[in-house]
Amino acid sequence: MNHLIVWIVALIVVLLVFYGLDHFIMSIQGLPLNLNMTPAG
Amino acid sequence: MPNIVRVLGFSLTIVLFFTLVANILPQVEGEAPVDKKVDLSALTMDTFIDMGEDIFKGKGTCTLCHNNMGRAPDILAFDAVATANDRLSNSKYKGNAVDPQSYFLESMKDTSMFVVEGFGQKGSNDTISPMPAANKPPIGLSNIEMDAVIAFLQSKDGNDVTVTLPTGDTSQLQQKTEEPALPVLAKTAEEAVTKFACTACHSVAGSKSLIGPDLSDIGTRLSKSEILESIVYPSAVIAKGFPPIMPANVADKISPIELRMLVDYLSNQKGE
Amino acid sequence: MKRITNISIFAAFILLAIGLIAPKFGLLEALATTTEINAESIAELIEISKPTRADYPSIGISSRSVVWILAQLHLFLAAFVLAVPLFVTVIEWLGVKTKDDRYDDMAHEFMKISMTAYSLTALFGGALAFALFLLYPHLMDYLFKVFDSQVLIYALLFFLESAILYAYYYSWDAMRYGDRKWAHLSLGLLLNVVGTTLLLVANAWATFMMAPSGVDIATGAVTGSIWEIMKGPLWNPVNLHRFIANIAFGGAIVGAYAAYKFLSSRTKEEKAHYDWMGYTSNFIAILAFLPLPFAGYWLMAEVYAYSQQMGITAMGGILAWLFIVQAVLIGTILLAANYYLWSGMSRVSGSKRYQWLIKYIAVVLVTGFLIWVTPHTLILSATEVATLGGSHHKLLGPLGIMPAKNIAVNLMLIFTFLSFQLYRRSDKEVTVSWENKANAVMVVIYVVAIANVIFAGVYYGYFTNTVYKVGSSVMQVASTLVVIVSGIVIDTLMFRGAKILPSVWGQVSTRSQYALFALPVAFTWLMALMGYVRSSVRTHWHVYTVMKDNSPDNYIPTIGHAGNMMTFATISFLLIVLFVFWIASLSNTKQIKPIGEGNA
Repeated sequence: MNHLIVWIVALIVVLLVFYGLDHFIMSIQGLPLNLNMTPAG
Repeated sequence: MPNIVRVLGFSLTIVLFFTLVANILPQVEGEAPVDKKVDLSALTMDTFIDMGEDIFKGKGTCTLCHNNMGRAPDILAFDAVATANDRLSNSKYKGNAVDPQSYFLESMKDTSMFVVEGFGQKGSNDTISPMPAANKPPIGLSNIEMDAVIAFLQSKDGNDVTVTLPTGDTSQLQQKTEEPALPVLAKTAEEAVTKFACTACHSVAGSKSLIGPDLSDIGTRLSKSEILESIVYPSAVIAKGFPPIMPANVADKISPIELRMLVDYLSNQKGE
Repeated sequence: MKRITNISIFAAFILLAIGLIAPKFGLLEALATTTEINAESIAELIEISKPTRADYPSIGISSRSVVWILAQLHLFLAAFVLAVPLFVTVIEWLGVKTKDDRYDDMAHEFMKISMTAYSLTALFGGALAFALFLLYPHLMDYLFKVFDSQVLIYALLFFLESAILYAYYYSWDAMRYGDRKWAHLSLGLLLNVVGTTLLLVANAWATFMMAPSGVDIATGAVTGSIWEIMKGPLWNPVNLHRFIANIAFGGAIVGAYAAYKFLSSRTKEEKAHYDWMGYTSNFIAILAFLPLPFAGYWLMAEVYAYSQQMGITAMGGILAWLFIVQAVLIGTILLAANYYLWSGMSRVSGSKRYQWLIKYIAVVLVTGFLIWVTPHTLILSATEVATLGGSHHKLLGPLGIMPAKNIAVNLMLIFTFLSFQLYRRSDKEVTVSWENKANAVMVVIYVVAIANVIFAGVYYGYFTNTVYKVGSSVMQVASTLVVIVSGIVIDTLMFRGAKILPSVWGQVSTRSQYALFALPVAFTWLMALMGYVRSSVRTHWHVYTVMKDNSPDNYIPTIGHAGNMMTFATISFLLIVLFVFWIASLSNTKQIKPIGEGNA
C-alpha cells in the first residue's frame, strides 16, 4: 500500500515539474502555451 | 596475429566503412558563381527572362528557401504578380512600391517591408523578415540581375513583363552594386505623388483610388498648412467617413524639397 | 594550518594566472570604451584586395587539399594536447582527495602520452602557417591586417604554454606531496588557463571567417577593436563546443592507449591497471560527449540567426547529406560506448540484477539510430519519384525531419545515461533508508522525461508551425538534462555509506577493448566531418560576405571526395597517435644489459 502511494505521489510531482518546465522553456523563447499545452496567441 | 595488426585492421575497417557511406550517397558538387559576359546589344526579352530564371535558381539562391518545404513562400507555385498586388493593398505593407515591378525590386532589397504571416523571424511577431538582401553580399545581385529576376517572376504566370531591357556599355554581368550615396529626389510633384504611393489610396494625378479622400479638389477644402499637417500628422484630422489608416511615417521618407512640391501641387488641385 | 597554507598557495597561483593572462589578452582594453569611428577614418582604412583566379599561387596540386590535411592534423593534435591537461588536473586532484596513488599514477601516465603530441602539434601548426602564406597570401594579408598584433600574443602564449607544460610534467615526482602537491596542481590549472586561451584566440580566426564582425562588410576595412573582431556571433558557441568536444576526444584517445596496453599486458596487475584506465577514459569521453549535441545545437542556432542562408546551406541545402553521415558516426560512438559499459558490467557480480535491461537499451539505441539516419529529401530520378509516389516517402519521409531526429537523439542520450547509471550502481549495495522512494522518483523521472521528449517531438513537430516546432527541441533537451542531472544527484546522495562490492579489474572481455578503439576512430572522423561542414558553409567566400574565394578550388566538393580527404587525415592521425604511444612506452623501457658486456 505504502509502495503504491510513493509511486503515485512521485508520478504526480514529476509530472507537475515537467509541465512547469515545459511552460517555462517555451515562454522564455517567446512561444507561450495555453494550459492544455497548445500554442497560445 | 600480433595485437598491433589486429587493432590497426579493426580501426581501418571502421574508417573504410565511414568512407564507403560518404561515397555511396548522392554525389553533388557545388557551383561557385562565375562571371558571365552578356552582350547587352543582342539581348532579347526571352533571353533576359531565361537569365532571370537561372539567377532565381542559381546565383540568387532563391530556391534555397522559396520552395515547397515551408521555409519561405513558394513563389514558383503561385501567381507572383497577383500576389504582389494583394500585398500592396494589404494594411501591413510598409514599403514604397506602387506596382508589382517596384514591389519585387523592393522585396529583394528591403526584405522586411512586408512579412508574410508565419514567416517572420522568431520573436519579431512577423515584422522582421529572415530573408537576406539580394543586392548585398553574400548574394550580391546587380541591378540588371534583379531586373532579370523580376522579368522572370512577371512572365512565369503569363503576366505582362514591364521591365525594360538593360542598355548601356557595361558588358559584365557581375557588377558592383552600391547603394546610391544620396536618395534620388523626385523632380516633379507628379513623380513625388507616385514615388510616395499616394496614388495607392487617393484619387490624384490620374489615380482613381477611393480608399482615402479624393485629392483632385483638395485645394478647395484645405489650406496649405492644413495639407502639410495631413501629410506629416495623418492622424491629427481624419476626414469624415474614412478609416484612419494613412501610414503615420509617410513623411519620414519625404525630403523637404519634395514636401514643398507636394503641398504646392495639392493646393493647386481645385478639381476639374 | 596546513590546509590554509595549501589553499593560499593555490589561490596565489590563480591570481598570478589571471594577472599574467588578462593584460596579454587585451581584456582590460577590451572592457574599456567601444570604438569611435568617423567617416573620414573609414575612407582612410585600407581596402581589401580582390585576387583573381590567376593571382593565386599554384604548386601543382590542389592548394585546398594541402591546407585541409595540414589544418585537420593540427586540429586533431591540438584538441588532444589541450584536452589531456584538463582531465589530468582533475584526476590528479582526485588523487589528492582520495589519497589513492592509482589516480596520481594514471594522471602522470596520461601526461606522458601527450608530451610527444605537443611538439607534433606545434610542427603541424608551423607547416599549416607556411602552407597558408604560400598558397593564400591575399587572404593571410587581410587576416593579419584584421587581427594585427593579436597574432604575436598568440605566439607569446606558446612560450608560456611550453614553459608551464614542461614544468608541470617534469616536476611531477619532485612536487609529489603536501604543499608542493598543491603548487603542482596550481601549475596544472595555469596550464589549462593558457591552453584554453590559445583555443579561444585561434577559434576567433575561424569564426571571423564565417561570420565577420568589427569590419565594414562592403570594403573589409577594420572598424572595430580587436575585442569586437573576436567576439563575433559564432565565437562563443564554437568555444563551448570545441572545449567540451576536446575533452571527449582526449578521453577517447587515452582510452585507446589503455585498451592497447591492456591487450598487450602480461601480468594480472598490468591488466587490472589498464582496464581501470580504460574505464576512466571512457567515463571522461562519455561524460563530455553527452552535452555536446546541445552545444552543437546552439552553434547551429547562432549560424541560422546570423544568416538563414548559411544555416540552410548547412542543413537543408548541399551540405545536408553530411548530417546523415554524422548520424552514422554518432550511432557508432553511442553503440561502442554503451557496449563497453555493458561488457564492463562483467567485472562486478552486482551487475546481474541489471542485465535484463540491456536488451531494451540496445533496441532503443538501434531504433533511434535508424530514425536518425533516415534522410528527408532525396535526390531522385523521375522513375524513382514515380515508384516512390512523390518526392518523399509517405511513411519514412516524416522520419526525415528534425522533430523525429530530435526524439531519436534525445532518447539515445537518455538511454546511454541509463547504461552509465546502471554501471555505476552495479558495484554498490545501497544502505540508505529512503532507497525505495529515491528509486521510485528516478524511474518516474525517466518515464516522464521520455514521454515528454516524444510528446514535444510529435505534437509540436508535426502539428504546429515552424517556430513552435523549433522551440520544442529545447523542451526535449531540457528533459534529457533533467534525467542526467537528477540521476547524478540522486545517485551521489544514495551512495553515501553504500556497501561497495568488489570489482575485478582486468576481468573483462577482449571484445570490449575493441569498443575503446572504435570510439576514438569514430570521434576523429566525426571531428573531420563537422570541421569540414563548418569550413564549407562559407561556400565561395574566404571571409563570408567580405572576401570572395576566387581560387580554382572555390566550389564545394562532392561528399565522396570530402569523405576521402577525411579518411586520409584520420588514417594519418592514427599512425601519428601510434607513434606517440610508442614513444610514451619507449620512455619506460630499459634494455637489460647483456651478460658479458660492460666492465670486465
